[in-house]
Amino acid sequence: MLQDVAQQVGDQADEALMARVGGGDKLAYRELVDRHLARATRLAYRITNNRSDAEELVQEAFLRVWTTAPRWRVEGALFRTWFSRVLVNLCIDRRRRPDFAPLEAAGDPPDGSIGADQRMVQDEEARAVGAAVAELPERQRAALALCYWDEMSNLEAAKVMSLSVGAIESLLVRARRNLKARLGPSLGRITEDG
Amino acid sequence: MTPERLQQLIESYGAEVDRWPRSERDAARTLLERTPDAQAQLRLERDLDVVLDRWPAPDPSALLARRIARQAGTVAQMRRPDAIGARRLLPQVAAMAAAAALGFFIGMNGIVLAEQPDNIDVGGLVLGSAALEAWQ
Repeated sequence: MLQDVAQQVGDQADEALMARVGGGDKLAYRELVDRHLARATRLAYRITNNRSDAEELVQEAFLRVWTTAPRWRVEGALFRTWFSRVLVNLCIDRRRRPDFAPLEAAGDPPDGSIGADQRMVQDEEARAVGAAVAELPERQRAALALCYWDEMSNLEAAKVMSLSVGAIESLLVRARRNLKARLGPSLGRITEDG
Repeated sequence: MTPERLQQLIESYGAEVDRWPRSERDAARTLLERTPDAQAQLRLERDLDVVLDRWPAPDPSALLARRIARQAGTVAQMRRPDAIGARRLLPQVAAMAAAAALGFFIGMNGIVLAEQPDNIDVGGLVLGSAALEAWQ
C-alpha cells in the first residue's frame, strides 16, 4: 500500500516536471533524468544485454522526452509508462539490427569483499544467465525485464508493450520455461552453491 | 482461484507471492497451502528466481547523465502550432484562397469569351467585375 502511495506521488512529480520540460525548463529536464536514469539503464541492459547499447538507447529515449515534451499530454499516459514504452521499443528495434552483439559482461567493478574464486563463479553465472536471456525472443525478454526486474505490474507492462494482460502472462510463462530449459543443467548447481 | 490459475501465476511471476497480481494474492496463498503439486512447482521456480536475482545490471556511467543533460542545450523541442500561431497565419491563408478563387474566376470567364466572341454577355461581365471587387 505504501509502495502504491509512493508510486502515485512519483507519478504526479513526473507529470509536473514534464509540464515544465514542455516549457523548455532545462533544470526540470535534468531532475526528470536523475529520477529515471538508473532504472532506465538497467531496463535497457536487461533487454539488450549490452552496456554501451543500453546507454545509447537510454540517451535516445531521453532525447525524445526533451523534444516531445511540449506535446506530451496528447499521449494520455503516465510518464513512466510512456517513457518505458519509448525505451522498450528502441531496445527491441536495436535487437533486430544485424550488427547487435549479443553478449557482454556487465562491466561492474570487482567486489573487493569476495575472493577471486568466488568472483569467477559469479562471473560465470552472470555470463550463463546473460546468454540464456539473450537467446530469448525480444518480446519475452522485454516482458520479463518489465515484470520481473523492473517490478512493473502486469497491467502497466501490458500498456507499455501494447498487449493484453493475458498476452503478457503468456510471454512470461514462455520466457521462464525457455530459461529453465537453457539453464537446466546449471540451475540446481548455481542455487546449491549460493 | 482455480488450480490452473494458481499454476499460471507461479509460472508467470515466479515463486515470490508478492510479485503476483495484488488482487489474486490472498486467494492464491490460501489455495497454495493445500496444494502440494503447486508447492513443488513453486520450489522449481524459486531456483530460477535466485539465478535471475543474481544477474547484475550496471549502473549508468557518470558520463551518461552529462551527455543526456547536454542534449537539452543543443536540440530544439517540437512545439505544437498554437492558437496564436494559427491566428498569425490566417491573413496569409485567406489571401492565398482569394488569389486562387480569383484566378479560377478569370480563367473561366476568359475561356467563355474566347469560345463565344459574338455572344458577349455584358451583364455577366459587369456582375463579374462586381464579384471581383468583392473578392478584393
